[in-house]
Amino acid sequence: MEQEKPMKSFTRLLDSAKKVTEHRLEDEMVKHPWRRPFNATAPDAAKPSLKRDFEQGLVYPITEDVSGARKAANLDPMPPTAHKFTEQAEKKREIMKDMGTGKKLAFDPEKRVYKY
Amino acid sequence: MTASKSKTNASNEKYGYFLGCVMPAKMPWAEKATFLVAEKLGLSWDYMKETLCCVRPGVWKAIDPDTWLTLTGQNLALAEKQGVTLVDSCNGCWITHYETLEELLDEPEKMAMVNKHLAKANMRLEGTVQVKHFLQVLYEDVGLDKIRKSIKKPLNLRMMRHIGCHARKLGNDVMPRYFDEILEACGVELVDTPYDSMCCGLLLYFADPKTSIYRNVFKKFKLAQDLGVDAIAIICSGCYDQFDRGIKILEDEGDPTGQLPQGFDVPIVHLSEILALAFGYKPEEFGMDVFRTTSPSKLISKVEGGK
Repeated sequence: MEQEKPMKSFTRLLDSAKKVTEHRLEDEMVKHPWRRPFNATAPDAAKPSLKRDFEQGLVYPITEDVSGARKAANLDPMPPTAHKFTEQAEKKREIMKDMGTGKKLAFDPEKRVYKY
Repeated sequence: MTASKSKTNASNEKYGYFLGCVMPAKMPWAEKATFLVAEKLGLSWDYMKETLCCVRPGVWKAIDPDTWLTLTGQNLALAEKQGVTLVDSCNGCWITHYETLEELLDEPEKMAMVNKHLAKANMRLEGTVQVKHFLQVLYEDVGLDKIRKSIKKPLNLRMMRHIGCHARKLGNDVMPRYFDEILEACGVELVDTPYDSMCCGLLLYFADPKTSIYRNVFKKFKLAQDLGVDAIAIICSGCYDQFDRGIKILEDEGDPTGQLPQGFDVPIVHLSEILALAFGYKPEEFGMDVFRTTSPSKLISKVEGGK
């Protein structure tokens, strides 16, 4: 089994995580070599999907393609989930704010990025 | 605790179907087929509305158990308010709803913690909601006799099955047996394989993507291809998401392990699609051939041609 080449899909996932991370740990270690290394609470591989979860309340969006496929399946183009009932996602964000979840995960909802 | 253990008469029970994240975005054919099946079986069935991510146990439980309990509590409170039995067909959604409800009913201080946070959104969870897996609704509430009586067209197909790990929570004699018996009632010949109980690798992907895809997914795919089965039968949207990822990786990056030199063309079909076909619905009624990574066209021809 070839083990050397990284899996492209996973590399893309980690690249997406980097794009939503303000201070990347590898850069921080160069900038602050004496600082004790630490791991962010949100694993890089989970950051993009967690961000979508924070923002829409669900992991996958309903794109135009998805809506078209739903119509072809004789379904409403928009499911009756928090995609449609956005106030429920807003409630989720209020609950997470109350719990300090964003802070625990170093996610800044205003800037829409992870600090680390 | 009462979750998932009710023997309530199906005709009296109002079910709220919890879609989760994957079903509405990637499996419209399964969503529609589930509604057709529920209608044919005479269930009082509708969407559970306003739903959020379940929330994913493998991610949130590991990051922060209190957040996992509370955000899952939000969905449970919604079901309670809507007066429905919450029904999941995704094993990941079911396990998170089942285990959260069990934990909150067993530990009042955790229920109080959840309600303290839900109050910020003017919500409250009493713990009276019932949670069921779709397999429990089909087998325990509807019953195999009624399912058999509803079958118009035994399918005469050979399939591998993949029920998924969390469906084994209550033991192999519960949901895995229900799954097999319902498939067999539809006229499906199940091919036993050494990989039937192997995890799809969904959560492993985040930590070890190569093992997750090359071992957990491609090994199953190779076996399905070698056995020449008509389909791999599934019930869980999370497992489908992982298989779908495996197919896209195979198409995009090839297979460095050499297990699938010819690619992969075995369709991955949801139990509801199999039931819908056996109940006599046409594939186009639920968009069976649309928006799929492996086409079920050969299977459809076989069913329609009776070959």
